[in-house]
Amino acid sequence: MKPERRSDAAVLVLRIALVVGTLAAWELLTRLGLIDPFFMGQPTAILEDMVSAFATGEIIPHIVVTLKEALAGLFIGAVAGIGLAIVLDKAETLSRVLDPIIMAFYGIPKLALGPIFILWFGLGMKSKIFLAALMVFFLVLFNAYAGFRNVDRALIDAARLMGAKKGQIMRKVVLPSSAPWLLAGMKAGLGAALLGAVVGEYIGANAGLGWMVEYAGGMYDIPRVFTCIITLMLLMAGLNALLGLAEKRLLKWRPAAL
Amino acid sequence: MRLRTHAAAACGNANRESGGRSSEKAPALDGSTGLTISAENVTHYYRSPNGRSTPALKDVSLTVNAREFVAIVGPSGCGKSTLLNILSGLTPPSRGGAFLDGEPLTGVTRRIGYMSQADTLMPWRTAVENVEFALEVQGSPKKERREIARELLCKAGLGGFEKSYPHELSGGMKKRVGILRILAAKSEALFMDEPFGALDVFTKEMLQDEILRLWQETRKTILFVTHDLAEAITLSDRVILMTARPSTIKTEYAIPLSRPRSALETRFQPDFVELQRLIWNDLRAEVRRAAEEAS
Repeated sequence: MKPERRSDAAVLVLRIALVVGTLAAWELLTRLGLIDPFFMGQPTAILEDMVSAFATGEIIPHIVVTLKEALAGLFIGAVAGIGLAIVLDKAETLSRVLDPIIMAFYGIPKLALGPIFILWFGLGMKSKIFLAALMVFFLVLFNAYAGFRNVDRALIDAARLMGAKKGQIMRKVVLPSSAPWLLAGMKAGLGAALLGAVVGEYIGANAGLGWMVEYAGGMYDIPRVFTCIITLMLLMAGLNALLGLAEKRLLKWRPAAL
Repeated sequence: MRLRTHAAAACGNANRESGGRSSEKAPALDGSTGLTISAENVTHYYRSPNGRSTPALKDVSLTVNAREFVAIVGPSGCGKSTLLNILSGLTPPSRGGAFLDGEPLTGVTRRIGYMSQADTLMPWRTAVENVEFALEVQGSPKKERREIARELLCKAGLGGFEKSYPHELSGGMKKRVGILRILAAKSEALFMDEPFGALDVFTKEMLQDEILRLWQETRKTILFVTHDLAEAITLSDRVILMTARPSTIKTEYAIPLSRPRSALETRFQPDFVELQRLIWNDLRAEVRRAAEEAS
């Protein structure tokens, strides 16, 4: 027999206790001089820095830059990925020709291309958007393609028999039917887009949270590094929650068990 | 049927009772004259990916007359579904041709409503959205098609389930929504491919009664594929027996049972029992042959 399942409230309390306990231990260890706050940071110092970064508004433009890059990358990568998936789904020969080539490109560690994109597109947002988009592109492409392949043939036939034209079948059968796949691709893509943007900034930029991490690290400003990291964490959590809401709305037709 | 009475009260449609149980031979309510469907020397091969071709149908010729209810029975895997796919225009036959009112069939047509064996309700659409699908792709305005779909659901006793998604409906309800969906399309003929195969006996009988009533009311041409011989006899005017693969038509049996019929009572008529015995003997030989070929 499995042990009795704890209530959600109990789990929440345990969770908070774990986080608070870790932070308290960290703070205590630095106060006791057992770890060096210069290298490891200190929760109170990080909080202080974070408050000042937001209060002075110093961090805001960098958040905006990183968000813009990540979201633009996500959008462009997703549209391109879905677009190519549609083409490959329709053109069987082309998909067979391209299959190993796409896999080869997918195998490249895209972040390693960052320096090249910065040479090509400069230090501004363009190079980061490109990097983010490229990372999203493959994730969405594979998911969308798998989604299209998995559309129930019988549903398409049923739609055809009821008089649906090709475009209508795409819009009213194929896309909604592969929505779970597309959303899974977007979810994975969201993390990749943020990663692409931040690493791109890290390699070479003049703004953005990635640039700020790099800059603060160079100055041994450990609290500032943590401020940026926590901000990124919160951004990711917020965007994920938004996507979760969209998912709930778009997939409300699915049985709850899934 | 508790559901139906409940919903009937909720629907409150003035034109709800269109004389469903009346025994007079009423003309088709939607004014359609019925569709004659025929196949001429249809032969069909399946091509597997490794290039081998398996014969599914061999020289099948048949005519389903306007307003006739024809059932096709045969061993499983005998190409009954293939025949429906060809007659509906989904699959072009390897040889031979299909005809609607004598005109050659070149592709899918809205004149035929096809309810396939698989559950093809769209899981992301509510019941009412599923029923209105055909109207939607034909460009009917939203308010109008919603109205039509709602009324159909109401009449079928599904008034309270308009906004339910397919996974929230029982097997019988899903089938009913599937039938309504093709009725909304106002096609002149209905194809049904083992529609009630997976249902329990009572639900099945209820739906058979509904199909009988539907035919009585609309007199649409119906072609009904089933492996349930009793179902075939209960519903149809003519039972066509197909052979094991490659399938041809073995025999046809006229079903002269009086109409309107009820699924339950028909089954106890002496004529019914006699027909069942007659056809079953032939069917059994084919089922055996199919089993031998498979092993």
